[in-house]
Amino acid sequence: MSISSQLNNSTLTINISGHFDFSTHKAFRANLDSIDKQVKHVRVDMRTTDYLDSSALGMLLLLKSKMNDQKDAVTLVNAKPEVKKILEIANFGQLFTLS
Amino acid sequence: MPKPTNNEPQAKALVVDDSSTSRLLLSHMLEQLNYKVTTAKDGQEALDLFDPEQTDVIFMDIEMPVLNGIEATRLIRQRLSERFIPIIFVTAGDSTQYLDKCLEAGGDDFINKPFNASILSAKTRSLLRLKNLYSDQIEQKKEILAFKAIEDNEHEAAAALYENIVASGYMKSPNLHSALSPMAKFNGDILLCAYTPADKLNVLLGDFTGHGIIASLASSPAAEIFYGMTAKGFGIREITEEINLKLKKLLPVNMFLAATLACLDRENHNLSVITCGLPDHFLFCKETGSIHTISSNNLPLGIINSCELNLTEKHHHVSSSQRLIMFTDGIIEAENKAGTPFGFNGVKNSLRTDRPSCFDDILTSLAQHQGELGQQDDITLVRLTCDFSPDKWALYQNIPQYVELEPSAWTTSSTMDCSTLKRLNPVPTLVNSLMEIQGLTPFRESIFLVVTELFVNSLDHGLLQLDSSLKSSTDGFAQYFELKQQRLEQLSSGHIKFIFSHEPYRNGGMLTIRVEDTGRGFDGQNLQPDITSNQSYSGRGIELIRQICDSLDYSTDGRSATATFIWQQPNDD
Repeated sequence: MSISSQLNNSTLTINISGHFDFSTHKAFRANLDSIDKQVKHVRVDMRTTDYLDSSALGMLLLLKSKMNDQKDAVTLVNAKPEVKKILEIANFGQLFTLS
Repeated sequence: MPKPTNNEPQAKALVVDDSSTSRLLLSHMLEQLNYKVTTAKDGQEALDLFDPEQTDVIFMDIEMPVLNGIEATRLIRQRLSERFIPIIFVTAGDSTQYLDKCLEAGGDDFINKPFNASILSAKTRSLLRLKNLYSDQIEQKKEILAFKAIEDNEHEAAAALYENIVASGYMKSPNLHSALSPMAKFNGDILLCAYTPADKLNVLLGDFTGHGIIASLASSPAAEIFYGMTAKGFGIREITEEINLKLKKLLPVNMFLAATLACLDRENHNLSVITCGLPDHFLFCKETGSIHTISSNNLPLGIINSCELNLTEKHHHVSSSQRLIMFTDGIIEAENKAGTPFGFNGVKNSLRTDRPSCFDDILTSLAQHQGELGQQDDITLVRLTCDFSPDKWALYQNIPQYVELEPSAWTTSSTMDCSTLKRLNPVPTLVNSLMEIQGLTPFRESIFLVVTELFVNSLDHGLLQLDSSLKSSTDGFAQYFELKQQRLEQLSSGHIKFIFSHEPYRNGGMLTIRVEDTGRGFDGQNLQPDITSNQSYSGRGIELIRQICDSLDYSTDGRSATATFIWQQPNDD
């Protein structure tokens, strides 16, 4: 697992590699804490995410809450089919923009 | 010569040597290196003087009277057990034969006479570093062990708490089969089941994010709401909304409950399901082998407000050969040796016709899949059998507390306008108030059934103009409920009025229940005084009311129904 992020204008892109689960918690929290007013939009790039568990879903909820629960503020992109399936089971399409 | 810096605490050395010259010389050199030195003239004196708290390094001569260096080292090591204090053997040219024994006894290094100050300094510094590293590690190990003890303790407490919450009020049902491993419970899996007063079976299967104590704490209000509302006859939609509301208030942002609520309705042979974030369920027909997948189509509970939740409830017309198979993610994620998960296919492939128990079959093929790995032990599997035979339902005996109230005469009425009807099912609230006015608790189930039937008839056939004949086919059944939901949402006028009146009658009382609606009424053909001709219209419902009540009459073109229920004082025994 590894997490990296880049800020481009007002869009923060967070890349999550490997297993996105409780072991990622600390690193993900650090990324959350680094979000300031300047960030208007967060893209979570799951191109290299292999797996999500429910605590990862919880972390996404934290991210959404950090962005003041604006549905359009957080986009989950490039999820592999198995990861997308988990997001769909939880119906997270209602809370996030999935693309 | 390098000296420890001033802000380091002064290191302490114990020098053990029978030669006073050697003692003096080594002490002097160590003092130059800023050591505080204690000396002993033989092994025994060293043991007597030795204080682990006051010693950072020991210099040990080998051959000494009373107790030699090797024995003394062995005894010191014994006394230290886990702690580490470096012991350096002081050797002369002729002592090389002892080297092995020195190491064996617990020595860490050697220093040769005559002493070289630079070598002495280097060796002591490196051994002290080792000692610090070692003691840090011991500290950490202690911390970890203490932490683990707390964790184990909490684990146990959580498991006990969980057991109590889930078991309190837990009603077994012959239709419900489940396997919940202790690990799954600790991981926040929860299974609840209870019967409503109208003899419907409500089931909740849930999976909390988070573990142990947190999940146990959160499961408590969820279970209370589930049992409380089921006992009062609320439907799974209201129960789901209420649990969601509570959890939204209670849980931190990153926690939620993935859950499915199912309601098995014996009267209509209907299975209603609200799925909120659990993996797909399967509705399996034992006879035909058909498998219908029920996917989650709502958000997990505790994330957004109930008013935004917009729950989708699915209805399935079911027969006794059908089983609802539900599980949490532990089963589909269970891996074999090669790391392949059991998956949805693992479950599906275990579902066969002409087998005595699909439940056992799933567990068996799961065990085969896991092979020697087995016992990963995070397994929750539930089978709800849609069996409506009376013996499966007769077990439920509600023994309510009876509050004896003198039969009295009273009338009460409530009118529900269409916006109220869209929001809630008024029956539980109305029936509960009747219980409070007259203490009719022993007859709660019967009254609940009658009020429900009358209300549903008024709403479905009166206000919403739904045709019961739709319900005759399996597809029609789901269509019927969808149409109902649709029409209810579109409903812009109309109301339903309930009038309850009660008077003393013989050795008890007579309750009259009148339900009026502003719909178009029943069509002329079916609205004859002969109620039996209404059979096709409302199916078992009307029949049920007639069995329970002493009379049932329709008037004003079918827009009002009046049922009377006569009750006797229960015998005191």
